[in-house]
Amino acid sequence: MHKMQEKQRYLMKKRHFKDKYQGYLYISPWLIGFLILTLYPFVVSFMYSFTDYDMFRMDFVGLKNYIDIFTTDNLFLLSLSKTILYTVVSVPLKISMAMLVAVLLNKLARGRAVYYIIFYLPSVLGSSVALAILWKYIFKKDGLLNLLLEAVGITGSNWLGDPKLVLYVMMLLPLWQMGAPMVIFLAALKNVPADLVEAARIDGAGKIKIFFRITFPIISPIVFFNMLMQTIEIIQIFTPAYLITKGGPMKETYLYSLYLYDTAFRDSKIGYASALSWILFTIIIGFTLVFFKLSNKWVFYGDEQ
Amino acid sequence: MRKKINKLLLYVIITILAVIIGYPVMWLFFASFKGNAEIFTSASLLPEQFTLDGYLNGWKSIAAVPFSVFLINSCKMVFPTVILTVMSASVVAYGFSRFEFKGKKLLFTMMISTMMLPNTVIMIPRYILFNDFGWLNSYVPFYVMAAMATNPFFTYLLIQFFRGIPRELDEAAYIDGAGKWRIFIQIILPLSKASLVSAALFQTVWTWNDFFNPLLYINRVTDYPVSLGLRLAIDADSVVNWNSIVAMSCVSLMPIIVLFLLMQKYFVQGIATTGLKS
Amino acid sequence: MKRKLALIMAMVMVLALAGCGRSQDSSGEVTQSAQESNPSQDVGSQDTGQIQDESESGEEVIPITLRFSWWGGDARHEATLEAIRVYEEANPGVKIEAEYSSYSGYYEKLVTQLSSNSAPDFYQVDQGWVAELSKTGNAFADMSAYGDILDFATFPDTMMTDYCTINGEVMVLPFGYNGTVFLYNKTLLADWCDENGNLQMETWEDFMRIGEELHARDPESYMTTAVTDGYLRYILKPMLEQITEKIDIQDDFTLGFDQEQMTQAFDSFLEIFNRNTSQPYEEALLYDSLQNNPLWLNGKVGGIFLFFSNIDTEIAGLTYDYGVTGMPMFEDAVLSGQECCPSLMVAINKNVDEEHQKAAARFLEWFLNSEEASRILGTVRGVPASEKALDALKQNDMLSDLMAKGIEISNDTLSLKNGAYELNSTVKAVFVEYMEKVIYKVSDPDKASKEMITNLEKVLGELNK
Repeated sequence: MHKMQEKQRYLMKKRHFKDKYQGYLYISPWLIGFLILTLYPFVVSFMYSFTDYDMFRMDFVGLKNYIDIFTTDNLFLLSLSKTILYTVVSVPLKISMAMLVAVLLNKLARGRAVYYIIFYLPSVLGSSVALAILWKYIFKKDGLLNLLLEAVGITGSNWLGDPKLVLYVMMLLPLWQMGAPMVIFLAALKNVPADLVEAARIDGAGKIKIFFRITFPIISPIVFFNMLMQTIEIIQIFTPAYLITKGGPMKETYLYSLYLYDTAFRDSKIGYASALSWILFTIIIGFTLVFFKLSNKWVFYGDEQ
Repeated sequence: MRKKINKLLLYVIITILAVIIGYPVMWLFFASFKGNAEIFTSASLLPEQFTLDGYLNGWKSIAAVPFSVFLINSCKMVFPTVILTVMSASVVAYGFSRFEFKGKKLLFTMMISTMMLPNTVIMIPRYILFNDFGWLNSYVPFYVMAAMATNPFFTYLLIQFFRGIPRELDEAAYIDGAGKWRIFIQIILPLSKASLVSAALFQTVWTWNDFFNPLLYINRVTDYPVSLGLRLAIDADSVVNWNSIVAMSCVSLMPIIVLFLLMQKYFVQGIATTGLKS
Repeated sequence: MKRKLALIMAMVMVLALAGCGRSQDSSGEVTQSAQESNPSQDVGSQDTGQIQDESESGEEVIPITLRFSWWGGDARHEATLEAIRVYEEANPGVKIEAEYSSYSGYYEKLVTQLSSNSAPDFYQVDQGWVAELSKTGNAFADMSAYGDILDFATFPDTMMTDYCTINGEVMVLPFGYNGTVFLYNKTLLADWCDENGNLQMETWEDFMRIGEELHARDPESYMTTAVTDGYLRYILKPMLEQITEKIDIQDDFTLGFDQEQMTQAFDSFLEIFNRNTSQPYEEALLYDSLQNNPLWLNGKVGGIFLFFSNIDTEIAGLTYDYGVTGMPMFEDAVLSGQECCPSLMVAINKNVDEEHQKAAARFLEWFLNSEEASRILGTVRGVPASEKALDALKQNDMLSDLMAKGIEISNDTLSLKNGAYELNSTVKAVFVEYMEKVIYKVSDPDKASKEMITNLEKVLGELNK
């Protein structure tokens, strides 16, 4: 009996030992790729940020780029503040919408597939060139939205041409393309045990209570995931500015990613653009850390005891 | 009775939302049957003058290339990439979520942080690397980046889902003599169908729509995917056949819609909850 | 399950190998031709019309592959590919790989390629990029070395000296050239034309007056509209040049105007909006091109300023009656301020070996100057700069009446060449920024001029390094 236990313990130990290094084995595809295809370009771009590389010549300039960005560059502050405003409004809107639709769709008994596709299609359009035509068709002065508004007696504005309105109108784009987080929420909702929900309902709990006490905690890792990923994605969003408004009018939609792109490719100032990238990187790291810190309070993982 | 009203209400709300969200796409669909000028001048949904020109001309050629060539290229570029992505992201995610090893937290943080540096400036050093390896003018860069789980989005997605699977299942199998690999294949993966399919769907859509990477890495027009091909026809100094572009954009949505239809049952299926203690 | 996995992996590997194999093929071909190339019997006297590659005395034709990149729309792609096909047929052994794309993304890719020495053998460039790229010393081969292959005499002298030759070296050759004219809708403006349909408009005051009257009669109509770039290049800048009689950005990186002159230009420019001569800017800016602008498509625009090469494009599919006339000028102006210059140029890559450069030169000679090529290409790259090509077009009736008239008008007006840095993207962006500030009344013309000048000087300072 003893011997059996000892043998088992020995085997367990051996397997634990293997486990230690097995982990590395499993993540090795990523690790190798990371070192060659990601870390190297990262380091190179970091180096570039201390130079005035313009695709042809490179001279070391120390911290000049960074100093210029913070002291004399008005476009930096302009595009950054617009981007942050854009992010702070769009992300919660997009995620709430995605969650709402996912919850509703989850309850549907029939015709799911049709609805899924309709809600997902806008994000399939992605950065398609057709988007530019579509958006203008809806929002130009004599476009669809204003026609509808006129029908109820409201005179619509020039949504895309008015510098005061255009940024907010563009916030509708991520909202419309909320298919991706919606799909992820749907997958997460599927993991909520139906019998749990049923039991609570029988116990008399209302729908809202069930959602916040049972459903939400179970899907909280996914909610966190979506929040983080959407923030990272939207703060770098390129399509609305590049494809639809070209950053205008009057730079009202000159998002950070477009500023970066113009600096790198239109002006060929790779060194400066690298510095801009690393500054954004730092900002994103900053709020990611905050997100993670806060997450301990409301995110609940199933694999923790 | 209340149940029935609630159900009706549900359908009404979801349908209203669907109409608002879906109308623009529907307009695009009908726009593909309009003439060039009509697309820009009329606000109505249905074509005043129905024409198949957009489809016929667009299919025959966009920028001097038959559209089918672009479609096939997109398939060639996308499908291996997606399969490789799912395979490697799930393996790597398993490593991060079910193993303990030195430096795990650090490596995980580094992995996530790679998403935070804007791609723009990374592209140039990567381009030079691929040039040196001789991988330019092919889809190899995409395959390699997929096989190496370079985009941490998918890995992280799967990690979050894997962590939602209770460890007791692992341990039960472990005691029964299953090794880590078998646990992965026989327990984790089957329970993660919904998330794996989501990852596959996203990578399909994103790679299908990716414009900038193919622009840099591929030179030969006959190797261009749809995302590049459609842009070829747009030029400020030439007549642009917008109805062809819109028509072919609709056509290029088709494979993804088909894929979605095939995969959607994985979203509908629940997981068996018997035997799970929470 | 396992079998499926194995099958999928096999499929993936096969596709990956297929992808690998192809890239090796192309690079293999190039190295092969480089090794085999020796200064062969040069068909140097390959003059226009004679495209038979007489490989003299039965010598082997050395296979060579050239890469050619350009941007454009459908028509240009198709015509160019056809021309390439014809050339390849007549010149066995020469293979030309077409690497064409849209305008957006082209410059980014080109610069990336040039900096990593993987650019095509010859490539199309925008006139505005020439100064920047030639400064790098890494982009353009000196084509004067191939003076025995390329016939430079077919291009107007001034064009060569003003735009193509830098420091005695021929950096680029022009595909086509352009000038600004005013294309007007005869039907809409019938009341302001004479009995021959010629628009009675000489000065900006005429222009605005007609605009006011037109709009008063039909509030939906406007005399003109443009895209953002158009307002800058076809209206504001000509106004400025008419006032200063100098080019805006001098080649020594100084400005050709002062604050007072700029303010004056802004004031006149604003009038086109104040007097309802132009479609309101906040509506016009939505459209990337006039082909998307419903006002133009519905015949509610009196006329548009454009390059004469684009005339056929902008009226394609429209059924109204059109006429062409020259730029309006201020009463006391002597210059028209129009842009009259080549817009599309072609360059040979400095970094490829001599064999490839020579082969590229041979192709370009045929492409630019032969009658056969002209007939295939027509005006897809605008009106050809080469006299031989232009003659071929005229003889074959391939020049539309409107375009021919446009050329005539443009050639007859006095104008200055473009500064080398006029069309530099960064410089243009500054102009656009302040133009918009003035239009949206965020800044008054005086203040805007002052700030714009400061900004421009800063940008030019950086370009001058």
